[in-house]
Amino acid sequence: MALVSPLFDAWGVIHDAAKRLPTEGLKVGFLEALAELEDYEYHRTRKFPKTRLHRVVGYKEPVYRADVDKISGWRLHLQYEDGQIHLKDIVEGQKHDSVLREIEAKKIRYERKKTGPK
Amino acid sequence: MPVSPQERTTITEQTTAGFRRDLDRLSPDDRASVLETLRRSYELLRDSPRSFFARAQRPLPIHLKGGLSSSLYSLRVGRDIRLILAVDDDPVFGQTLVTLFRAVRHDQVERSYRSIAHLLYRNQIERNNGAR
Repeated sequence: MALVSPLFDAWGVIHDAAKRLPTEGLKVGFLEALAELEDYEYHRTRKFPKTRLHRVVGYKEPVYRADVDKISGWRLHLQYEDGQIHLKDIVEGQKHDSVLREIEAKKIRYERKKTGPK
Repeated sequence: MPVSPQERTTITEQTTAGFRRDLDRLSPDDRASVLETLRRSYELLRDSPRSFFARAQRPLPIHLKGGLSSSLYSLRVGRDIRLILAVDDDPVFGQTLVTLFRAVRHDQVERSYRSIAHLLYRNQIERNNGAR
């Protein structure tokens, strides 16, 4: 059995999604998104091909956004608290950041210096 | 499963088109100063985050709805230049994201900071504070 990284839903996002998502296709997409977000393997590899999970820029608290469906624009908002991922909201398409669309894909990585005996 | 703090080893720099445009317009000396400031800042952020945040400034207070806090700062580069950036801990991907928004003259920092805050947060900013 696959290892699971639990998702918490104290805000009733799953209930909200079941009511608000307008088509069966989007509801299935939502289930697939939840499945990816709670699959340990995707967390281990830090790759989320379906949901394109990413950190939302500009908040001290670790806030994340994930696709329910790329084309319709429905998104899940999540927050990382006490080592766990919490579902926070489901948001309809196109209500996203504009300034961040222009962020350059190029990223420069700075590795931590190795520390140890000299 | 989430990444433990010990594994958070990477600082990832992201730049907006606005920042890249600002950088292109600077003189070679000023550009070099910006890059040197960033290099030192990343070292501090990696090795002594408290020291980094002691140097980072908030030109205006930003109060957000929903119990969230802004991670938008400005950094001083010499006497005349200020960088506007967000610093975001990213435990799921084991990194700290630094997003560079602008490099402006010091007398433009409040206006640019306010403008970026409005783009980032839109209607999430609480009323009755200096960022409005």
